[in-house]
Amino acid sequence: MRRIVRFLSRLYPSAWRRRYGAEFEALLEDQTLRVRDIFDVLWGAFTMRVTLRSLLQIVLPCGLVGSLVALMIAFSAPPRYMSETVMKVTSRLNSRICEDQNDVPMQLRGPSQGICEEPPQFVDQRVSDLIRPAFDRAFLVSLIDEMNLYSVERARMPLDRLVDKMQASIRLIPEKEVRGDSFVRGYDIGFEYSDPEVAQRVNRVLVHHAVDTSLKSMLGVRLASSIAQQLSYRQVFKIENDASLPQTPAGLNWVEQGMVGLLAGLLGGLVLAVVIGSESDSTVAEG
Amino acid sequence: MTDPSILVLSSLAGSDKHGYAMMEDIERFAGVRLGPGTLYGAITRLEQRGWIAPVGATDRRQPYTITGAGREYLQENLTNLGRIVRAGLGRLENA
Repeated sequence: MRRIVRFLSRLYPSAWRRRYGAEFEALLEDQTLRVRDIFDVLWGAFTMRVTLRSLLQIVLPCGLVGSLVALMIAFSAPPRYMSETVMKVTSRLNSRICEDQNDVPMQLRGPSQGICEEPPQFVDQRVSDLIRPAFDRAFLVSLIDEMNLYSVERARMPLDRLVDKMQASIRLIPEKEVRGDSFVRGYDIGFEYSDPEVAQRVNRVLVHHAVDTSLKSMLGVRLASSIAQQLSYRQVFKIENDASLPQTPAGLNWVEQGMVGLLAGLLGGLVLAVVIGSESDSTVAEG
Repeated sequence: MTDPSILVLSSLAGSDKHGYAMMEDIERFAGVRLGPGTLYGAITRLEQRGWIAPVGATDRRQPYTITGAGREYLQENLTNLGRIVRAGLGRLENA
């Protein structure tokens, strides 16, 4: 314990240690130290580094700069709108498939125990594997061209980067809670764009293309597998609602962005104050 | 009443002491054990404000003494505190 606390006492500013170090070590040697003394010394070192003066001179200006930068970003970046669609996927396999896939921990369900279900994470992976290929680069390139997307960016950005940008704007998130029939999983498919109506139109195309591609992919699997498996495997995709027309921009509003900037600036300023605490505290040692 | 500065000044008002002696004295009269970081935080602040001063040390243990300004500050604070204590106790008795 004593060694830990002595080690932590090195966190005090060097100027403070020059003035008080020897007597502080003598104090540590004289007494029986407890666990809470570790935190006490840590807090003591922190408060020595971050004085009121350094708070006023470093931390507050950093917080102000952080919030200003965040506000500038908030007002200079165009608003983004997220159109969303919920797609329900019903996934059922019969017991024979369960037995065939011993590496997947499935549970038998149903009155006759003839149906089994996959754990949600396996369904998520399966659906992701089915849907993600639908948003391949070739399709997105054709979509950018057909719908004249990113018209401003196209002048200064190569097509490859535009496709990356578009892929980053597509969201596929499984719903957190499984409600009702546990065979049914919901997926939130979203597309973010600077124009809400375009976001809605693109999202509509994306979702239908995803379902089409998934069905074709599943059909291919079925044709390649045995008759028994064809009949036993059932995965149904259902588009729950049409792509939404977003009314408000996605993400944080300008007030929230300003707050985030302020907090980030304060935190950065605090770190800066701790780092340069030795210098700002030199007057303590001299005083 | 656990303001470390007041506790340290109260301890030094009796006699000059080094850190460990202050810590033991404070625990005896106030029932509060100041951690080493808290104690030296208070000592640093009090010395910076001129309310305590180091006196001749024979070894690494540095004794401190309360200054005139420190006495005045302590007197003022304890007087105010005494007024609050009396008022609070009086109201408790009348309630």
